[in-house]
Amino acid sequence: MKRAAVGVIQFPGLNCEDESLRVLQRVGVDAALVRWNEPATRLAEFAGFFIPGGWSYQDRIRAGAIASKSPLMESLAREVEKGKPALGICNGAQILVESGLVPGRQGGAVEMALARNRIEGREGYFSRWVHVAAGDKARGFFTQDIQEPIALPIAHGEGRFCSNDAQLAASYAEVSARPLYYCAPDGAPATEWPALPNGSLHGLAGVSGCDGQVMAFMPHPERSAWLWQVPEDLPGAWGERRRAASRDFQRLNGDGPGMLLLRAFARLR
Amino acid sequence: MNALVFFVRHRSVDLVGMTAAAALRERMGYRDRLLELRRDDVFALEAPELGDIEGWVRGFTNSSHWFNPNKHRYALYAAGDGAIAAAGGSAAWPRPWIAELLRSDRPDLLALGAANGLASWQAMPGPAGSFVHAIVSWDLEEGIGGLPAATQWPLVTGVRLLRAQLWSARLRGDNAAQVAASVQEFALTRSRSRGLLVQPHVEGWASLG
Repeated sequence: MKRAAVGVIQFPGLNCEDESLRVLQRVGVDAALVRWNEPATRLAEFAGFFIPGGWSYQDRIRAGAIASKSPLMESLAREVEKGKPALGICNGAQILVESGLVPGRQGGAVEMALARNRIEGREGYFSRWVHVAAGDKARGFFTQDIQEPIALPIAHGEGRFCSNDAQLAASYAEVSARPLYYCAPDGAPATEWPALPNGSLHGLAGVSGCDGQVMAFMPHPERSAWLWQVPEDLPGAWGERRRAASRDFQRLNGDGPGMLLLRAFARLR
Repeated sequence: MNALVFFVRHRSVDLVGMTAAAALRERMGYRDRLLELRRDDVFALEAPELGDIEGWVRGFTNSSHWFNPNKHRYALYAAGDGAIAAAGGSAAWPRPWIAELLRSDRPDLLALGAANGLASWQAMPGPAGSFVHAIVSWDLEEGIGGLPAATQWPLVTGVRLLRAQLWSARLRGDNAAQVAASVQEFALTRSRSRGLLVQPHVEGWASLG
């Protein structure tokens, strides 16, 4: 059977494209890099899209702002309207939010922002492992296999979902309505640091659009795609699995928690 | 005097401003109209009594927080009261916002010798049939605060500080009102195709004319 093709979109300054390509190939799709200066019409070749993390255009003005004005993003909007899935990780998530593709309730309107982290006693870039769970009523293309908390690293300075649209903000108040939210290792919704690493609105780690086909997600699933990538001292079920697999190279090369999200691409045909 | 505004501008190329201008021209349809876009960091101080101007200039230019004499130039204006209250959402933006130029190391402003601050600001050179309009924007949560420690500031109590950005644009247009409308249109981010400079979900803004 012919493998589905996924386009990994690269803007100047994104720096996670290699590991993103590698992890998508592990998922079983044909992943190819699409650079920002290629014809935007090339996106029609692909069945799905992945925008990796990094610092597009050096985060000039604000993270994701310049990339969101690229002709490639107009083309991407047309492709996702056809029902094709798109996943943006970290800076990729910021680009999707600035493009109005998530939450995408008002046809391209920018309805949210990813603001600077809010952490008591410190500011700026912050990196650590977190746990994330999926809300039952908000399940979409990327979250249907996430039935337990997954562990992933975050690495960002501007990862706090916020909105001045009170109605939109209120729509995430119920835990089950949150597409992906920070939680404790046992799955309890995070309300404060350290389980909530950035002060995000209702603990949101990821917001979806287009009926769940498009996902803006701040943590890095491509950095937790193999079990060996999980730290041995991590609390919770994924830490236990990692410790149990110690020196068992077959198990260590098995799926890590990020694969529960990324394997969604394997459903593409 | 109880209100001062420091403007900080890059001595050489401002990459952020250039990138914004390129995006507006090449991707958002302002290629023929946008003649110039400049960006300044803005630090507005208010207190019941600010006292010695020289003390503020020394504190500001010796601070490594916002100003590096190797990279930046500054201009200090006396200001209309109320910018901080307006940024907090409780008042209209004061007019005139900036008044007399007090100190600067910018040759262009010193050459003008203008007493009227706003007039000197709008002296961004340009051809006939073009007008200047400016937008000031600030972080709604972090824009207003106090002075950073580890710098010797004048011993004045009750100082409040607004940190903001000023985007000044010169556009071709039929009149100043039309240009003002265009600058507001491209400044305020509304959708994928409309607006770039200000993110209204995290930033407040005011049109300064």
